[in-house]
Amino acid sequence: MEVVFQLLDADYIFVDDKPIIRLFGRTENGKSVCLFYSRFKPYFYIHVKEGKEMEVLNFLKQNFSSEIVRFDWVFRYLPLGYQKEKTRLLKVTLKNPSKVPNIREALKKNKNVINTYEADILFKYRFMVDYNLFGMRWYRAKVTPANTNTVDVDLKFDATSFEEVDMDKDAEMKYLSFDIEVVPGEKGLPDPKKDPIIIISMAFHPEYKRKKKLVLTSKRVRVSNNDLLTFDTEKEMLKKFIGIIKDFDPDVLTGYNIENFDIPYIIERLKANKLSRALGRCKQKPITSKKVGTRYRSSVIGRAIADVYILIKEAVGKGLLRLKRYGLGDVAMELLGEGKVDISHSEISKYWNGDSTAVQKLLEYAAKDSELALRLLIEKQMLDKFIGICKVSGVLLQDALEISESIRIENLLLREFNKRGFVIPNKPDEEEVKRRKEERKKSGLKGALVLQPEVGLHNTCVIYVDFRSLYPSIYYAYNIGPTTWVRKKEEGLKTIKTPIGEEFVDPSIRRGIIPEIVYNLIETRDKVKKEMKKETNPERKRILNAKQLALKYVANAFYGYTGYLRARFYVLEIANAITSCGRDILTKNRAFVEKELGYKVIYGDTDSFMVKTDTTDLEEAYRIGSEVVNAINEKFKGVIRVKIEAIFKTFLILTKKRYAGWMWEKTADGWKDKILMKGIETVRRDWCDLVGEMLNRVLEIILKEQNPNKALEYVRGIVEQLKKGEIPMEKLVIIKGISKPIHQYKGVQPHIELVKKMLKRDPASAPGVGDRVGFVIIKGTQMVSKRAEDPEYAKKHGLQIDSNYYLDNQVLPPLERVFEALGISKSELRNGGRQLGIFDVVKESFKPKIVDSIEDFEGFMCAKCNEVYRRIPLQGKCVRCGGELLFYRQNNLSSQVTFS
Amino acid sequence: MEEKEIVVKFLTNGFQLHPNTLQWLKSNEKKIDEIIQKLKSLENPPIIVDLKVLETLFQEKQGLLKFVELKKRKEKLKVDDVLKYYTSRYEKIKKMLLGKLELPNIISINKITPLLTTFSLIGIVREKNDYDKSIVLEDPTGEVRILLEESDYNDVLEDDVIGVKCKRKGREYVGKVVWPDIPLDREVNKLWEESYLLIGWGIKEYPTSGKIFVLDFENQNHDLGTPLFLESDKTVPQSLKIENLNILLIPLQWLEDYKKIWGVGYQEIVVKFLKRRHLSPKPPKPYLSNGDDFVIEELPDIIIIPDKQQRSSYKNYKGTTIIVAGKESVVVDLRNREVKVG
Repeated sequence: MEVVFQLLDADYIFVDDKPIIRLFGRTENGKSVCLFYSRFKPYFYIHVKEGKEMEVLNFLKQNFSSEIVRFDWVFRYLPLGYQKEKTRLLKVTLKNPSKVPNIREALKKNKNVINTYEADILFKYRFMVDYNLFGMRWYRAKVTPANTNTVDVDLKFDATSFEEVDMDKDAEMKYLSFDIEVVPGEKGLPDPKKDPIIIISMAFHPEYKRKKKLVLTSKRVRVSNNDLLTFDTEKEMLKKFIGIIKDFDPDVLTGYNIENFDIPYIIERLKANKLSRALGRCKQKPITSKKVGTRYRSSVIGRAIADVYILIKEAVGKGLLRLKRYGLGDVAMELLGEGKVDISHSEISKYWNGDSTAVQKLLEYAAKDSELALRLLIEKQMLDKFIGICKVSGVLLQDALEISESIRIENLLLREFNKRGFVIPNKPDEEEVKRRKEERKKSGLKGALVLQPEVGLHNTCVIYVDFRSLYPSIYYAYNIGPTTWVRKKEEGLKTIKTPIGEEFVDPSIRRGIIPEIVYNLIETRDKVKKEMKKETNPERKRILNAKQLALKYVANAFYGYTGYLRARFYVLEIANAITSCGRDILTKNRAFVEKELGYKVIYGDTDSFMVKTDTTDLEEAYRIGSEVVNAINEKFKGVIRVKIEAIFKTFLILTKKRYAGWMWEKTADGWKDKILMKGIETVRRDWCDLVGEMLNRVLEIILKEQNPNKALEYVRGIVEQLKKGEIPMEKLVIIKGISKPIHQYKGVQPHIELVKKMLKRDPASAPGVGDRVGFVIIKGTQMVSKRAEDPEYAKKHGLQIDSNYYLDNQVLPPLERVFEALGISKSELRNGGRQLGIFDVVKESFKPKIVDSIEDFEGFMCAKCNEVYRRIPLQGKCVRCGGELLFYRQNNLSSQVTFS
Repeated sequence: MEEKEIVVKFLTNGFQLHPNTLQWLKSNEKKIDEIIQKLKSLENPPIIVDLKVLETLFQEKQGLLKFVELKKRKEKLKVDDVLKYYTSRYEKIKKMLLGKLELPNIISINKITPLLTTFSLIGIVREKNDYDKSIVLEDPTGEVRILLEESDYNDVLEDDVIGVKCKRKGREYVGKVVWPDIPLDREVNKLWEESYLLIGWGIKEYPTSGKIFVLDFENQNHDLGTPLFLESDKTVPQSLKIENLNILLIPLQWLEDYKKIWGVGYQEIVVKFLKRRHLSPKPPKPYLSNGDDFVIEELPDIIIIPDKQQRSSYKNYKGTTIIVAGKESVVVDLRNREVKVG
């Protein structure tokens, strides 16, 4: 019989001295499946020293005979450096995948072994690559029902063969979002070993037993709620939780910050309650949470874990979203228009122990959390991109969510290299990484080129020229890759030389694998985009869009891959060659545009550059842009392809990598405009709202109205308002989080000092660990950190804002950079006047007397504002205030000098 | 003869003497009778006899030539005087700069926008900033800070009126100073008749023919040749005209301050003056009164710097002869503007 399924996850088990692959997925009819495949064994390759074959074989037989199944001598191309001929390698097939590392390490020390290859490939991927299986693609498998009790799925089969099926859509996946609430023992962070979970909320998609959500509590509560299940103990509650997961059988577990908090906590509580942690589709293997750097990564068999918090952070990092705060409430408000229920972390205990109304509210609060996370994931289609990446690069969904570029690429490389008879290198061990670091430090990895920008405001149209996927083009044009890299020069070998001197064989001899992969990705993407434009069905369109985005991400991931120290294929020379080509192309393009086309290039950065025209008409600029782009594409045919990304009506450059522009894009529905900012922080966590508001407004005035003076006046106006205390306090609130107990903070921080104050005033209402504190800085004589105050308190007691603090630390610094680019100096911004000189000191402490006549004079002073001048200005009156000028000498002013 | 006696003599002959004649008459006692006779023989004899009258009497044979102060000290100064002083300086030099090719696209300072990349300005220097070699240039519409090259920066003085050709450099402006200077097509003035100008300290030798003008710092009494007189206050530049020739005399004292600032010789300093068409960027305060007469509007043909301690020398700058009148006497042939020392 046959079954058609979408491949979601894979792992293996070792049973009866045999490895058995398990493939998890979902069928078209929405059933969860697990397919077992037992006819596959792990293997790897050894490059043996010439003449030492017997020694190596004997070594292996002596030490690992129980593990090894067979030896084969095979011919493969080695991955690094161009070789004409294949090399003879020893393929060692084993019984147990988990033994491969041992043998690999043992062989490292063996002096008869030059190298090992593919000795660190995860068994599940070894299988998938060899059988051409890609994550999230559909397959028709020839199967027979399996008799096993090891997995919890609807259908279980033994599979014998697989064939890919072309399906447009994805299976109807099941999503479970959950969120836990805990009461900390003391006023600090909850301890998973001691503090129980009090509430678990869950949200389902699609509905589970007609329920969209459920809340479980660890004590009986008197609240009438259909979605509530109460229990006597935490243990009972957890049991139910496990049961629901099993019953609902979700493909994706999700929530907000579950990787770092909820999952590790649940694991500990399950342990403490001596309950099974097998939350996946395997009955035995537990859910695990490992610390990777500063974060935790969890994994569970047969399901994918998608932490919406991590996905949001990645989207912001990639510039797809702009957020100041990552709290679920803020994110949900921004993206869904709905916020959290208003309870702060430290109040949870209060509500939990309160009356039924309080508990009711707490339950609502808990339920909302899991609901919002689920809505974000589904309504914002956050998984689309990752599913697309799986289909393109071959990784499983859980690994695609790993947000690691190298994982995506290396899977794809493994497939493509193997297909062509190549083996791939192992991942570098720590020793190798160290060596690479040393090497890089010594010879340096030269980065991409950023052209010296023409700082200032450009108010004629600027064309944003995009080097379409510059790096893939470089790969292709120069045929750059590890397999084409010429390590040893040969007579008569046709090569392409890169600007720094590294050579790669001509494509007529061998097409580089990486260039070919990248080229295909781009070509496919173009096709998909064309199809998408023609598509009218919104669902189809969405799928195609996900596909083309995935192709773009994977193609772009190649950029920087060869320079990534931990990449399998890292080669310093190749990385340098690529960036040298990039620099070369950008430089040549600029020269071409400036010298032969006659337009000025005012900025260039790796893969784009800005060309200035002298027209203010969009259509005209677009026409010029098309000319420029066509000329470039003609001149550099076969090397790169450029396109017009947008036209800027106005463009303000501050420095390298920092600019803002009034961007106009030509769409099917006409011109669409927006303000584009790069490197200009309008969104930063520890700024008050006033800053972002001012920066946005200033940029808007400068870019849209091209009136720097008006922008300056606007700033001065706000500065005046600030000095007079006329800015609403809400706009001046700075927000910082409390990440650990107060007493653990060393040093003096404003928000912590405030919390200390608040604790003294009313311990019950003071914020606690996990909360975020908003504060303003008020006037006073103590140090700044001690002048942080709760805005409500400040309002109530009529406390005044320290306008100087806000000017010096919040408002002016980012604005100064913008205005400097326009030639308006810091002091003009701050003082609203000319650069003051030595006389200022005099001015400040001075009360002059007007007399009839003086005998000599030192300079001139304004009778109205005391401004001092060495020589009378040509205007004849005070430049600052227009007042009358008099001679001055020491403490006296006079309209007349009488020389003796 | 005492001054009083001279006055009485003229009075008894029906002429009132203007005080400015007294010094000359004292040095030319012998001519007094002759003068009185001449006066009497005039058709319309003047009632008051001043230097001008005496000049006209002697114009045929020898003019009464006197150096006159460019500008007078004032005792009282009003704010308005000072304003008029600088405004006049600005306006006069601005006129000279307006036509220059080295200053394309002249705008007023308030018309500077961040969009302009090159433009020229005419203004007066308000400030000099040593740390970055920048100046603040002012005009009636505003001020702007401009970076200069070191050589320009060292030349420029506060209150100089200059032209600056500016270029935008990032967020700042970089400028090249353009001085009004002497125009290339300037006419070199000469006299038609054979004439000589003698300059020295105690001149005893004279040319054998031609008209002779004598500038003797020690003795203003010369029978042979027309003496040129100096005003008593010798601290301020003085000028005089010999027919169509402008002669300017600059006392050493006037140049001392500038020697400290620029560290160059006196002739070099004078060249710098000629370049900026101004004799005194920093005049003493009592001279800061209406109108800036130190602006060199009419170009001097010969500039004389008396310096008894030095050896005499001369230098030509764009048609102006600059002579250091030192130990040796100097003879200038006014027909061909050649200079002979000794």
